[in-house]
Amino acid sequence: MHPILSDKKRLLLYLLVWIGLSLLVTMLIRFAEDSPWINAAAFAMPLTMMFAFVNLSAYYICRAFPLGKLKLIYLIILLAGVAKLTTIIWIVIAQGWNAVLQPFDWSIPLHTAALMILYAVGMTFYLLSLAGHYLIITFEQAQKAERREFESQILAREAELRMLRAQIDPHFIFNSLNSISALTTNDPAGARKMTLLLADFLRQSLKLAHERAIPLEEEWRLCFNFLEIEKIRFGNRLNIESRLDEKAERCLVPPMLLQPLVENALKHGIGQSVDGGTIVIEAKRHDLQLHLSVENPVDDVPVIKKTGIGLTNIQSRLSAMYGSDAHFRSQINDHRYRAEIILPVEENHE
Amino acid sequence: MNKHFSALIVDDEKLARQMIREYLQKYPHVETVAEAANGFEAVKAITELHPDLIFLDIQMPKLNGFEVLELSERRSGVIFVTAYDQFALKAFEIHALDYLLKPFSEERFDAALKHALEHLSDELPAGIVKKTDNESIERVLIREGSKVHVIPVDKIDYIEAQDDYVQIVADGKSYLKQQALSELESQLPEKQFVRIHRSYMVNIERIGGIELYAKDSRVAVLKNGKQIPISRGGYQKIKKIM
Repeated sequence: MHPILSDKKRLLLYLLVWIGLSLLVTMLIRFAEDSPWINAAAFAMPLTMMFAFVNLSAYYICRAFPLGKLKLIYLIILLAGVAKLTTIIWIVIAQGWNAVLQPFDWSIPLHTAALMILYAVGMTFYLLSLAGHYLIITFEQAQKAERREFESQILAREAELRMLRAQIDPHFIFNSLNSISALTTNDPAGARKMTLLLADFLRQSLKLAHERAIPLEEEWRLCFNFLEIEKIRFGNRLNIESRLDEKAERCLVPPMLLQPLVENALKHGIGQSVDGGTIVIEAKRHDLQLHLSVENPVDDVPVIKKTGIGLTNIQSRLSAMYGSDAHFRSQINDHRYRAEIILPVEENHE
Repeated sequence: MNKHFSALIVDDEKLARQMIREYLQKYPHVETVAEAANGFEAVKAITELHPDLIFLDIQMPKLNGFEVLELSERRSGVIFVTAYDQFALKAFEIHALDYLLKPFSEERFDAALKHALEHLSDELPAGIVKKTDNESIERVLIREGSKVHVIPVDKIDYIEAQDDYVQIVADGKSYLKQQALSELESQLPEKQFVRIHRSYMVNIERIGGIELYAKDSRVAVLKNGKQIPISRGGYQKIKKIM
């Protein structure tokens, strides 16, 4: 598509500039031939306006011979040739136009001086037009490249977010299935209950994984579904305390944000301690901030350092979604590990 | 078969232990002599009861399955039972009889048990778990009778070789462990621990300075004032690192 013809606003602006230019040509002709204003205008204005459209063809020349493809010297010779040819054709048309005007007595003498002016004007305008079009093309290409770059950045980040979306630890599933298998002989009802809980949990987490953000109460339900399953596995080793601020329930959070924290608390806290302990889960709202925290006991035997992929994952997700408005921090105090997420409040306004 | 076998079940989940116990019920000649719910209990049960067979979970509180074996110096009769498949290679490197992935069928269990009972008396190549990959250990385990010490490597000041033992000094206390210094050297992170002498290895983060002690002989002075001799070869090594 032609960058000027295809855009009404640009075309209008372009033609306005050419009306100015045609007045200039009229003036040059008026003084060169010393003819009356009306004659000079009748001759020069339509002719120049027509040239405005001829000049648009420079775009196709520029497209056919992009910069950097031909040797510069050949390109200059070529473009000069095209400009000269176009100008000569234009001058022939000018002579024809002058003949048409003669019966109305609006023609001009069209001496060598006028022809020289037309030649100079034609060459100058056409060469300027070529330069202008090269500029436009280069600019558009740069813009396109920038947009492509931007688009690919967005795509890359989306892909990253999808990847980062916390995934359920498969060992949790295998261990749960093992518990179900163990329950089948002595406690069939328990086995069935656990199967249903596990199915619920998997279905919910699959569903939520496709959402961008969900109300906290849904994430909360997912976490407690998870905890109920773990409660069967860990028995008395696992105690749960939870506090969900009523004002926080409707706040929107990215799905599977709290669940990995709860999972960590189980795996590294309860799972590593002989007597187990209490997990404390809290969600509070302070004005425009949502505070989520999970606390678990830590065993006194030094635990092998974990690389904490889950936690880095949470941090990257937070910074991808909220920039510097969200924080993650964790600390160990008096044999208790506490992980906290602070994020800006987003609400559903339905 | 009229020979009797004793079995120990180690798993931190009650249901998981219960299922193995149940699968074992149809084998009257295999008696479950104990259950352990964590690494410490497992070490105690192994050293006191010497069971023929051990069904061993890997991820457990206190000590993992491999650490349990290292501390109890037990190699034979081990069947690993875990939901993690990434330890299988390591399990077979230490000559485990089988590796059951949770959840498993009764047939799979029966096959593992049959194979295990047939190979219980096999001679095992002697030796301790070597560092099989590039991973270095993060804690050193020491057993004194039935008491177990777990020392994070960061806490260790230095280690001194003493005959068949090494003396590990950490946090002002010292512990004896039956292990060759060269073996421990291969297990500890090499960027942190340097063998500066035939009989000494030191945590370089603890070194306060190096002093010339006599012509051509130097000592490392630890931050707590303790002086440790440096051999000529050791001096070259430490110069390169520091």
